[in-house]
Amino acid sequence: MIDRLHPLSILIYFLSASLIPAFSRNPVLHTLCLITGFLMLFTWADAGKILKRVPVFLLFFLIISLFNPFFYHNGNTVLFYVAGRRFSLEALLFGADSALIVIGVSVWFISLSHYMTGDKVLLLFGVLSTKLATIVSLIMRIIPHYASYINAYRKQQKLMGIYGEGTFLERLRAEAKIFAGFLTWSLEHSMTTADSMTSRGYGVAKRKSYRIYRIRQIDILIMITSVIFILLLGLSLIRGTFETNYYPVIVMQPQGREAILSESVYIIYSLFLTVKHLIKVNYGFFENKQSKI
Amino acid sequence: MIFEKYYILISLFLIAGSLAIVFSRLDKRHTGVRRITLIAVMTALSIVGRFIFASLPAFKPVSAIIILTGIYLGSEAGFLCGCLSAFLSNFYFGQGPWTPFQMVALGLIGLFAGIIFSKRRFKRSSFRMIVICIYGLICGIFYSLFLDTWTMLWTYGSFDLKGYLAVISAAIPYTVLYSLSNVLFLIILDIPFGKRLGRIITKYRI
Repeated sequence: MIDRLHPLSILIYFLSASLIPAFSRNPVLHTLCLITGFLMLFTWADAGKILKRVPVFLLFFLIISLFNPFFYHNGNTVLFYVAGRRFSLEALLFGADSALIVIGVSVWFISLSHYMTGDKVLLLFGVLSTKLATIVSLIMRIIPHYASYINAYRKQQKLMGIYGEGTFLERLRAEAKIFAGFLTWSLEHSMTTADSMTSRGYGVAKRKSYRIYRIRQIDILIMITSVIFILLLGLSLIRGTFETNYYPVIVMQPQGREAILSESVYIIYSLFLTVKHLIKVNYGFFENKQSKI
Repeated sequence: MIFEKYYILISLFLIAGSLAIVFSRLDKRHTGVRRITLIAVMTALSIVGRFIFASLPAFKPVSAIIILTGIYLGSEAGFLCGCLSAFLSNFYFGQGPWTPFQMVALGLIGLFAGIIFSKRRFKRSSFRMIVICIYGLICGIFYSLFLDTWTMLWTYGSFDLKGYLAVISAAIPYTVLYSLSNVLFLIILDIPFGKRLGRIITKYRI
């Protein structure tokens, strides 16, 4: 369902769900962000693929959390001394908290770049500028084309005996030769592309970009929910509900009614699109206009 | 004050907003079809360059190709090439909240290359080569410092000089390697790109 949403609602939803916790200083919200980010991964990737990424994230976590205490020494609880400098518990926890949210946002962005396919990116660019959308679509066409061309070119050079064996310097020279030929060809080829674009009518009338996605009821629902969520959590962010001070001792704002309320709002919001995929429910009313083909 | 607490939020919004404004103004200026396809080719080349050197950290021809685009095709082309190569290559190397910062940094590198060399685009001299190399060196340092500011704001939420120095000092090998690779690639690529682009530009009246 998520991949059929309008790109604008996807963008707003993912950015608000990942970035609002990132701007707070609250370990609870950060942990929630990481967990819901992982659940979001399960909507499109299988478990084996996700488990493969976990060691990388753990390594990342260790590096970021250990980086902080080596540079900041102003915590009160000293664990041990490194080269005469204090290695404090507070700095370590601060680093761990930072690592948590950096990884949480990265996990959310993995899902975002899965759901933001090329056509959706093109649509968003086309809203801003049609010229930009033209360039982006040209680039997306050019890259695979070039890759196949350069392989064919290299094979041909090899058959002619120009490229292949020899010392490192000789092979480097052959590579440079291939690159030079490829460069000339790619620039000339772009002129052919430009001419055929002109002859097919580029620049004759005002250009519009083609939009395959329409804003449906479900998109309006998601956008309204997102705006309400951003206002709610933004307000408690500004009021300092989530503040945590780390130096010199850890002082967390008491988890009062407001903080717990905001956190449950976050849980509901961040699982809003995930739940449907995980337990396969149908929103019915909002989707009944969709074709059944 | 609230504005001191949310540096990163505000800077992210400012940068994304200014990029959106610049992009929405692009259609007002007329750019020929051939120039558009050339920009696309140069951007594709810089993205492919990032792919080829993906295994080596910081040793990338991306900025060099963006600078050359700015020099030979003008500042608008340089800006577009920088922004788009950061944005599109990040689909493979990882999108994140840092993407707008990378887009602005690389875009500005291309933009200023176009402005600095607007008078002597194809005049070949050793003085020009030296200026290009110095520009590449400065760009490498600028790019690293710009993204270090981002790292600082992102991981600590606020800006203070001590933390900034820590982040910079941790990134010194990266900065040095990056700047030197810029200079190296500029020296290697300037003549082949200049010759071919110059030929295309005179042959097809761009």
